[in-house]
Amino acid sequence: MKVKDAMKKDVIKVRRSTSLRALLGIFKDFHSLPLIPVVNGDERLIGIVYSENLLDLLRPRQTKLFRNVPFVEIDKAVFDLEPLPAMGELIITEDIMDTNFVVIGEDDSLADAYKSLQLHKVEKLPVVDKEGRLLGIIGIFDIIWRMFKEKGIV
Amino acid sequence: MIESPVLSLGIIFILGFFFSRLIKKLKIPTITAYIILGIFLSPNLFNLISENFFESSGFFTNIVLGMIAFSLGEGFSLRTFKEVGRAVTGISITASVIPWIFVTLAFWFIFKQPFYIALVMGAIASATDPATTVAVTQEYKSKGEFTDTLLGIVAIDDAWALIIFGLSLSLAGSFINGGANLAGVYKDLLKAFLEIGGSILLGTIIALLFNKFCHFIHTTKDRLIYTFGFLLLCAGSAVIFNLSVILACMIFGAVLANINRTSFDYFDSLREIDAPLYLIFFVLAGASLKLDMFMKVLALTAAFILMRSIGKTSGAFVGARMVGASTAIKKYMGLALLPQAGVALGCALVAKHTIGGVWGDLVLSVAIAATVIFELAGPWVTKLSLVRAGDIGIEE
Repeated sequence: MKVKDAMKKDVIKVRRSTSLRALLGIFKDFHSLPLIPVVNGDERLIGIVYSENLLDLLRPRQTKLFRNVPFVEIDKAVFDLEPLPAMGELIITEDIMDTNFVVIGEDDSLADAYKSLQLHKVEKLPVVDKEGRLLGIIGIFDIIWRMFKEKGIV
Repeated sequence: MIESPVLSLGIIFILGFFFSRLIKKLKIPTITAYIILGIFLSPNLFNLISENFFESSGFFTNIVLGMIAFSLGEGFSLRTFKEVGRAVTGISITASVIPWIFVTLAFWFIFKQPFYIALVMGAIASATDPATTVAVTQEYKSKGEFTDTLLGIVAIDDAWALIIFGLSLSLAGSFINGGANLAGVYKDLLKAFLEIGGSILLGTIIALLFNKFCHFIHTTKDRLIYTFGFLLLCAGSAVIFNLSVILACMIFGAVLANINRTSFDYFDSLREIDAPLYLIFFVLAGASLKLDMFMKVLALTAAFILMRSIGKTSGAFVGARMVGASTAIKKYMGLALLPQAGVALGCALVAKHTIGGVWGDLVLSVAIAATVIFELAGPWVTKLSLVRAGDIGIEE
């Protein structure tokens, strides 16, 4: 079974110019949404926003920069900053998205997708074609659902 | 005295744990606590752990230095440079290179030390301590342009320091038994450049191999084994071929960070095992200190502290001027960069093993003494500069 047989095709996505305010609105309206893909004009996946990226806005700057500097213990405290209301429009998706992310191909097997989800400790993975265009999204539950369906349970 | 290496390790871990707890109450940083523990356990004082065990410190030094260099290599990605910006990159370079030159020249000309010792001491002077800096900015909730610039600098400047140290040690190694005439000097230089080039080549090859086969990783356990394995492969090959462990591992990390999109996962995986290795490393550093030597190098230590402080302040000033930074950054950044700890000690330990003998002990003694002082006074100085720069509010 392939990833394209189990993935969700109606993906909520944003552009790099989407404002922080609009982005927060999208996160709010969807129950359990761990990531939002960012695409460019020809639907190519260029970044991902995780809820963690939003939290980083409330943390002192450079938290990310020190992740692997030896001996540094970063106090991951949030709420230390006092963000200004103007941030809602001034900050756009491009400022906070992760440009390093894991994807899975549409023709990869479900077993590979499962392995990848475990290996990278993420809940969902974006699915792309060979040119890197976003086709869908796949998570643990999509795989479970597909397996149960295969066995005739649902 | 305990002869069994296994029991020695156990005792070091447990004592390290409780000792760092105890000493944290006195607001002394963990690394200093480990060094002091090392001094206590060494043949100098309580003689609890056999000297044979401490003699084996080269084994841990290579592994831990390899890990530190590999992790810092991650910072050498285009992404990081873009994130911290031109100003921070510029200041980080001058604030690393100028102390190196200052201390080297002072040790060579004023204090009449051999050139290779001066070079190594200079290189050690360029390291800083990101951990203390971050801790101070967090404790005092410092914020502003100065803080941002400072944090950006300390996030990448130890990588420069390691490059400088790697280069210096290669040069120093060639000069230890160096020729007295000009032909001899050329031969030494050629040897050093071969070592540096070889290390860069080795790190690159290891990174390419790593990237080629990493799709065989299936679980998070696989990932740790694979990453650690390749790291040891890199460090070990460097030792076998007489190359620089530091440069090779750093290039390995840097190349990997630039060619592999999910490289952050590999760097993260090492964090699971680094704590005990770091503990051993610093206890060994403390235990390697010869206390009688320590007394003899007081003057040199004072000189090192003074020249490094002047070097850092002027280095940061020059860099800040070049990139057109604010007056506060020009005036106080060097001061804020004074704390020094882990990387400097690691370098000193490697230098001790490479140089050996009395000179090796001298380098280590000066570095440890200076580190302890910079580590104790550093947080206070950093705080002072943050207050002066106006990034910490003065409480009424």
